[in-house]
Amino acid sequence: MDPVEALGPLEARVMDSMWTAGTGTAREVYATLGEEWAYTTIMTTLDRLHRKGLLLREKEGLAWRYRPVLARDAFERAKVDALAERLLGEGHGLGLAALVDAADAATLDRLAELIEARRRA
Amino acid sequence: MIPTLGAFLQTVAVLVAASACGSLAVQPAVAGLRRLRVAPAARADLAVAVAALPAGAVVVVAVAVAFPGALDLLGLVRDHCDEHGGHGHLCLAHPAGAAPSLVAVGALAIAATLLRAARWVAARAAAARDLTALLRLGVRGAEGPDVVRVDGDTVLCHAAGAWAPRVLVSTRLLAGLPPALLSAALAHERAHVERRDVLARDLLAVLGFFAWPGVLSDAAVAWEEAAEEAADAAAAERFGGPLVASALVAVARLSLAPAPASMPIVGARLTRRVRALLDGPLHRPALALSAVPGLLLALVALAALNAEPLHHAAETALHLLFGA
Repeated sequence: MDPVEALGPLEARVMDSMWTAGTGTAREVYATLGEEWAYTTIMTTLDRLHRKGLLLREKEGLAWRYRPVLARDAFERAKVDALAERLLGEGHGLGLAALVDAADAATLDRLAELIEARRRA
Repeated sequence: MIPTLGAFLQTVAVLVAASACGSLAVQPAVAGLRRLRVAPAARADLAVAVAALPAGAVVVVAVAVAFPGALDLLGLVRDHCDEHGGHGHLCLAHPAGAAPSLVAVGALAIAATLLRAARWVAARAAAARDLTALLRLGVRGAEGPDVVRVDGDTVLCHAAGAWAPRVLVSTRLLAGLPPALLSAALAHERAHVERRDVLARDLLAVLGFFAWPGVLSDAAVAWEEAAEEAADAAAAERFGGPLVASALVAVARLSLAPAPASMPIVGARLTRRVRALLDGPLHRPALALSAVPGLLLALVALAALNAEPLHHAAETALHLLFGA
């Protein structure tokens, strides 16, 4: 699952509905979204979200019942982390965290001692 | 006067030679820059000026090549096309003298430059989309109007955005730093925003299109080191060197990761920054990045004033090198 690339506009609406309701079948999501889209489109979108790893599903009679793999806030955290990692990896930001992360614990201890010694002096 | 394709490509080949000359000067200039004991803000500005050397050479030669023809076009001075015998002839209007080898070099240079520019623009556009998505997930205001807080586990403390720069911080960083160190870290990032460092880095990338591939990478590293130290110094003016140094170490500890095997001296850059903060501010000469456009304009004016001899010098060099 890539949380950054995961959602198109309709997928976002469907996930929003799933996060609000907790679980749902294609028929229930179709009813929630005000029948703005065709029932078959909703069914296809739910299946696609399942294949992307965003929804789990289990059989309920003849239909599938879906539920989100991650809660909304966990999904958004994963998205933030994925976006942040990409920005840091591509070197498009400037900052403390980008340039000081190559030090090891021993170096950091030594530097902390140096700073403390200078403070005392 | 309508430039023909052959004449245009031959002119581009001459600009490639100018770029090569400018590129040759970059490495020794960067080495000298790193030995300079001046304030990091001045070193950052000088690094941009050094990175502008190839672009400056290209602009000067472009002016020299095009100036006689442009004056002819305006009816001010008659061009010297008729005065060339077997001598090489740099002229945008007459394709007869265009050497095939130079035309090929010009065509290759344009293709390579366009490819590099397209890749960079695509990468920048992707990064801008990522940044927009990240900002949309963030909350503004709690740490200041210019700070956007995002809820994530990545240690994020960054200035981002070229035209509307902001400071991005993650909840992981906010939870991991005591208030005093957080204030010092945010002051460092605000200094990047005030210095417009993200935009300066884009400017360096654009200047790189005028240099030979890879030549400006050392200048870019020198600029980045100097820009970071300049932001450290700006934060130290407000909070003192030891507190900013402690913030650096604290952020490094939060994002502690195994050092890559290719890095023989672990934490060398961090050590240098901490020592610089503890040693206190360096002398800051009266020099600013805003002087660079003025310097480039002065170069262009100088080239225009000396267009004739420069133009003939370029033609003579072409004649000697290629028999064109």
